Amino acid sequence: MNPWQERGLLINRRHFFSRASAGLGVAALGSLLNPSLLRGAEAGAKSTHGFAGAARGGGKAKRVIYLFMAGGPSQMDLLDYKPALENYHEKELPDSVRMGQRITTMTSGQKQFPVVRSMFKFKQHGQAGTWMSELLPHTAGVADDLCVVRSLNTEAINHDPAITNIQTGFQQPGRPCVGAWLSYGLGSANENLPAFVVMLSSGRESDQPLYTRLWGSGFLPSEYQGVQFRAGGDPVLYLSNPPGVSRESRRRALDGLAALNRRQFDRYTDPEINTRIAQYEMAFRMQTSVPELTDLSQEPQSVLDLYGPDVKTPGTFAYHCLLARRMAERGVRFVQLYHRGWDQHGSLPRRIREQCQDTDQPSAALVKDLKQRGLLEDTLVVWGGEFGRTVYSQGKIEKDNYGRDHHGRCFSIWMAGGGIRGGMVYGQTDDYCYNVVENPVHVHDQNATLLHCLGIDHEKLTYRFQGRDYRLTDIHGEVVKGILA
Amino acid sequence: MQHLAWVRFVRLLDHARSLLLSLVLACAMPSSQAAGVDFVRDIRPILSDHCFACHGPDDKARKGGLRLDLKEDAFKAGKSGQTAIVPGKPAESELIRRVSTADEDDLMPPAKFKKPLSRAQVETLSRWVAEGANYQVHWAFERPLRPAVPEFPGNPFVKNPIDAFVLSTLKAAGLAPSPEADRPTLLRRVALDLTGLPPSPREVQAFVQDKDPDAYGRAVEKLLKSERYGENMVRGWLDAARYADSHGFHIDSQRDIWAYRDWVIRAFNENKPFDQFTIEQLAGDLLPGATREQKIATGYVRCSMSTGEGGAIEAEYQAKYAFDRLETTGAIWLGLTLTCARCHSHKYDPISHQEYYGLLSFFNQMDEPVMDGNQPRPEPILKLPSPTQSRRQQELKARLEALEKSARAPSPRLDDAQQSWSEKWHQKLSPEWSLLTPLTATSRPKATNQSPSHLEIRPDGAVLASGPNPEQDLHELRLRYPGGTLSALRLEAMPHASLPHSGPGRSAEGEFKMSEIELEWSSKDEKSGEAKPKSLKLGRAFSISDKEGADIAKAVDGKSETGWSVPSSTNSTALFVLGEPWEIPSGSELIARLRFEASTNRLALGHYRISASTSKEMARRLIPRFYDPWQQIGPFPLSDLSEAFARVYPPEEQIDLKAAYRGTRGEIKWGKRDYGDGAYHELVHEIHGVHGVYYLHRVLEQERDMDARLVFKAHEAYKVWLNGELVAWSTNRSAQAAKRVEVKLRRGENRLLCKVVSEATSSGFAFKLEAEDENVLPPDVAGALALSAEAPKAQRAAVRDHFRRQESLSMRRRFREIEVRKEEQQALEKSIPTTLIAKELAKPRETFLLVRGEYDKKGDKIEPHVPALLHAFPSHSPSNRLGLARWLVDPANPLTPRVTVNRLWQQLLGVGLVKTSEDFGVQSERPSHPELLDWLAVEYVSSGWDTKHLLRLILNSSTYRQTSQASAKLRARDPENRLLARGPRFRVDAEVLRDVVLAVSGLLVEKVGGPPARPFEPGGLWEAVSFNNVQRYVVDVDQNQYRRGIYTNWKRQSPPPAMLAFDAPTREYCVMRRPRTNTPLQALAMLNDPQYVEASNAFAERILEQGGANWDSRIRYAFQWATGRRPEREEIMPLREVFEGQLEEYRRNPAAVEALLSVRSFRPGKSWNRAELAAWSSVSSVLLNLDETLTKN
Repeated sequence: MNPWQERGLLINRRHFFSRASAGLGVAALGSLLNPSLLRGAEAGAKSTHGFAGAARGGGKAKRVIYLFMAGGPSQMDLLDYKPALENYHEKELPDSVRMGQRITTMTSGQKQFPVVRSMFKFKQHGQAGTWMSELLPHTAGVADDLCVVRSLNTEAINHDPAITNIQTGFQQPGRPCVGAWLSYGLGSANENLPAFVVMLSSGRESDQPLYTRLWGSGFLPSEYQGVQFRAGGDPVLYLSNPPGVSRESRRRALDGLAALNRRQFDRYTDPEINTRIAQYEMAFRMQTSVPELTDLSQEPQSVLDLYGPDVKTPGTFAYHCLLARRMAERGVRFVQLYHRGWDQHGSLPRRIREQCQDTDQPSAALVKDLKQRGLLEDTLVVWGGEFGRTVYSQGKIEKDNYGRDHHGRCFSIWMAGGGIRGGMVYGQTDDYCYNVVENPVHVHDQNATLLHCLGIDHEKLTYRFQGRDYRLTDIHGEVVKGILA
Repeated sequence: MQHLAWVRFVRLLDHARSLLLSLVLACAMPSSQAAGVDFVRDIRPILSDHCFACHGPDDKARKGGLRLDLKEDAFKAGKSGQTAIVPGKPAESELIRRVSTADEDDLMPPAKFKKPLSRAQVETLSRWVAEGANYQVHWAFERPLRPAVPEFPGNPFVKNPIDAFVLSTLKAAGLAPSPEADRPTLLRRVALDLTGLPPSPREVQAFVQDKDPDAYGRAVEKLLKSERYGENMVRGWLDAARYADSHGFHIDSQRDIWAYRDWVIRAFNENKPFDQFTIEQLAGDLLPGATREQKIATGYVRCSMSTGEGGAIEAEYQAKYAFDRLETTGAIWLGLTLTCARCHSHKYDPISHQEYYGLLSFFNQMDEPVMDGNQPRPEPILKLPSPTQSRRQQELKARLEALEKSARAPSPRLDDAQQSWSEKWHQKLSPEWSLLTPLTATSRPKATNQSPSHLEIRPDGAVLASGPNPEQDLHELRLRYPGGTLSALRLEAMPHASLPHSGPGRSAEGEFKMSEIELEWSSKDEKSGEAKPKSLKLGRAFSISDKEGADIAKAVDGKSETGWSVPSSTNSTALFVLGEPWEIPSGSELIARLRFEASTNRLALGHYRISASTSKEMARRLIPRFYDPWQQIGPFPLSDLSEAFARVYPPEEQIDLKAAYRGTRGEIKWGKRDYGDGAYHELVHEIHGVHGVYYLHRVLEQERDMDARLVFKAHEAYKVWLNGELVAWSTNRSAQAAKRVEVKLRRGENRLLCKVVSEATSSGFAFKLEAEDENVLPPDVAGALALSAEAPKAQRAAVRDHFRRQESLSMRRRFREIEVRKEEQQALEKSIPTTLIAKELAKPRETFLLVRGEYDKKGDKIEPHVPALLHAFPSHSPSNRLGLARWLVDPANPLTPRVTVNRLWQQLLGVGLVKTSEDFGVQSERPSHPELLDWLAVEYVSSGWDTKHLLRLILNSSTYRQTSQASAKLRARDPENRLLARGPRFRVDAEVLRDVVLAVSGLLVEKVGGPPARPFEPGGLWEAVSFNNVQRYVVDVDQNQYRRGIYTNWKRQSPPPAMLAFDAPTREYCVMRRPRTNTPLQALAMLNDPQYVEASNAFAERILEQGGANWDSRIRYAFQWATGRRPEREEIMPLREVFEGQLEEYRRNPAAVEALLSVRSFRPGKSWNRAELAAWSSVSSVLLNLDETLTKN
């Protein structure tokens, strides 16, 4: 068994409790490790909401890797095969389909809404015969591990509110994101790494911004916010010792610091002091554990080949996918990758080809790699964006060119592992790929299901703020039972 | 004991904390209150949490018509005939039956609600009904009355009423207060609390030695008078007001509103009464005769986030802004969570859906563009010139007026001379027009169902229209071109007797409006024989006459809705000069399209003729000094501005137009650009652009040697070479004015190369050459005089100015000065700071209830009003923000004073008397000291909302002055110090932490106010999240990097990382209470952030310089700076060990010493022993990382 897994198993809740009851040194684990739990145990005063009641246990997933495709990938060019569009190509979208739904001001001024078919070919893949576009040859190779959800929907129609909605359950800033909820609810399984890691890959295009709030903790304490792993400089901010400071020298300084802080504790008996001593020690350990994590030198060539040629270039999506696997092995609860460039209002065919070149192989590799290590069973992988795109063209339809505006009424994502049934398609859209006609899945349902896979009841993972018990799914959300393994 | 066991059992639940507290408090209360069930303490929390969602104030959600928050409703028989509560008779009360029944269908709350009652809760409810079901109004909604102060005659602890209330609670709990903290600790505590900065060792020394019994009181007064006080108090206020230096949504670009931050600092320092402080921020613009300061204060209203996202629907964001402004105000002043009532009536607090929109209407009247355009200064704004700037504005205005008067005054002598000069030029420019006779002329009406007009080609080459007159017409003429250099086109609009009113146009009045004229040259491809159309750009246009608002430029502006007209029945000629001359072989065809599509009023031209200038000579005169177009390449990658400015990129070595290089984003090559002279051309767009180094190259071909002036302007840094010689450069990022350089152009080729370095902002350049050459006319003047000796009206001034410039040296000087002064004027206007302010719509906007809070689901129209639960709206107040502000600070308001004093208490003591300082509603936590809270609230209002008075009371109390040292037993009993048996102790806020480090190290630069500062942060953070990765954080290189944290530039989507790590909010929304976490990321930041390493180096030098001559005195000095107190012997030992160890290591490794001492820009003096300095730096870092240093003890 992988030593990291072994370690993860050792540090379970019971273990925390037994260490907690042992008294001092409890605080040693501090914030990155489900501090709420520890603190509750520590004095009976610093307790928390939610956790105890929320974890109903029995979740198949222990962690999540979320491949966020920011900008809104075009579902009818990737995952939602619509042969009927051949008949409607260049014809006006009927009012009976649009039903007066609001659209963004980028196309609301258009006088016509001509339907544009996908110019990409679809084929069935795997034993389940899942339809996939030629743009995703590698993903097609793992089709039987994936559950394609074609009926996701959201009310938001512009990037900022839509991405905030899907990540925090609310269109307006202020709520914790899904990763923060998880690290609040479950804590970390590795005392030397954060519970919630975020990585932003620099694609060829990065034409929509991201927001710190997407990995923020909202009203939850800030220790639950995502820790950004960066491509340039220190992978974690301020990780390296300053120039001219050796590890020995740092150790010496920390020993002196701890000695003085212990005296301070004797004087004040404030447990925060012991927590601080412990946090400095954990910081010291992170200085080894993080470089070990990002060191790919021991990865066999076969694994590197799986992820494709970009895997060794820090900052690429492929590199981040491999890091995500390494984090999963080490018990990081929630790894959130962002890849931008899917906002294809114009030149969609060219741009989507490029995007797929950068993301298809690494995404599929991650699924394969997790599977070959036996990690896919308890790792939930999600691939998807904040909304989809319109069936009608934004701008003129040309022979090899078209564009699509934002569309929230239906879009496609895929999920794999961690309690999700592979080799299936869930939900149906109409022939125009405009409305959901069967098994709608709202973004709240997606989040409820994600928590469910981790053994958390989304209605019970709550936090009281401003007199109200808040949760990720607000007052909504149904677990999508039909996709569970 | 049983209780304690239970507490331990549920310790993971949220209730544990409040329950423990209420138990502790219950024990602490006088026994009369502890007996029996207390509605407020015991019952309402149960009802509110478990019942009100369906049986509370929200009438839409109410089930079974039962309302439990009102006594009258709960006591009367319901629809079912049952009565929920029969006072004194639990057995007859349906409520008790339903919460205790074994029947799962009947059980309340329903299982699916997932909020079951515990057995203890059911018992409590039952006892309450048995005792008579006594209801009470929620305490926070009742106006506070000044409670009697408990008396403790002669008790030395009681210095003021605060202590009396606290002591009373302590005694009831069987606890005693702690002794006063020692003097160094006390001074450091109060200094951090009031100024956010630690006292110097000298100040501590003086305080320790001050034997005056009022030494402490005087120290408090001194700190209250310091300007640092406002800089410290502003922090919490800005968290609540969600102040930031960026817009927040989507692109999240910079906004200029820092003048509001400075206003808040001033307001605290002036101790502006809180009611006035409130009124000015919410409605300063509506005060009669509003001053500049009062308008700046309304920045509060504009602090909400805004968007410029393409595709966003304005109405949606207009509603969002109003929601945010209302809800923020509700939290800050009322401590109410109004957000719930946005979609439905509040579930817990008696605020209805209607009342929410009644309040919203006050904020629904903002006169502002919803989309901020990603601009830093979206209207409405206020310009804030400094006195110096105002003076300069006046001076420039006067000087320009004088100059223009003397340069442009009528002068018969000059004007006569100009006339003959003009005629001479007209002669030179007017011949050589070749008439272009159309081969065909076709009408193509825009509406395909309308008949085309009949276009006849007349023997004189003119076109005459007749027959049908479509609403919008297009005349397409194929013209035979005689061959030669095409430089201009001439269009004669000629009146004709057959046209209405004998005009040139076809409208009923004989008018026309030409929306656009386009010219195309069709050359036959030699190989394929296919005609390839090439559109020719018409750069400038002139006409002899035009109609007001329909000048000739409108015919070449690319917009179909504008066009050129002349007064009816006027003969007019227009001239269109090409952007560049074209060699066109004879026998070629030109296609001219005259569009009449500006309106549907049938405004086609009826009779006209087209000619062209075809000679080289004319081309030379009309498009004078035409050079090769610019070639551009870029962006080359850069690391920072100064590095890129100095670095020699390939184009500086050799210009090879065929070469390709590695650029910032992939391969880059040279490409031709059409950049007109004199205009400003953007190279890097603020949002879409790619930063880096751009090169512009151009060959200037001269017929002879000549003197000229090169005028160049660019952002952010640039270099200009002429024939290999560097002639102009700038690294001044904010430079607005153009550079003028006298240059010599030689006969033949002159090579011009420009390098523009763009690091962070939008960048661009402008170029022109000025030569005083009487044989050459500027393009505008040439075009105008080609048309007529008198020059068209629009160009008359330009022609006159040009003539006068030529005429005399003194005139030339005047004109040059006008140009320079005008540029200065523009630069000055740009440099004047501005700030966002609030402005009311002239015509009020109607407010509607929004169903489920959705902007496009309007319900009933709602008039402005306030919730019935609270005090009445003052009848004499206007129904606008001003009225609302006055209502908020009305002495009858039960909430504002409580919420405000509670926030101040929280700031000093760490936890508010009401812990949920953002929520005073029914679900809030019960105050730990209700009487004290009310006493303080009443005292605050009756003192005239005097904030310093309130602080003084708290700071001078024994309660505040207690030591924070405590026994483990006391900590276990009251971990959060809610009973106040000891002094406050907590880690200081993110900004204070940084300020302390800077102050201790001696790096801190104290300067109050001004634009945001940009201290060090690691590179790449802004790029990683921004649109197209273009936003870039540029670290200040001057003293600004060492200013207090409150001035640090705050970008909401990428706030300073070290601040975020220490719990600073993102400022996206109102935060009334920061969490206080303790994480390893904080340790990494404190140990390794280069700012702090630099500070350790600086502190080390300060220790050596000022800490005396020996190690012992130095360590005492250093320790005292960091902690305020002298170290004990046992504390010196570990530091000595660190020092000795590091010294030994650094002596062995001089390279490490130099590496450490060169972090960032601070450089210690050369005279110190370097290894020793490095060892001290390490000790400094330990001292700056001490828990005691990071903490207010």
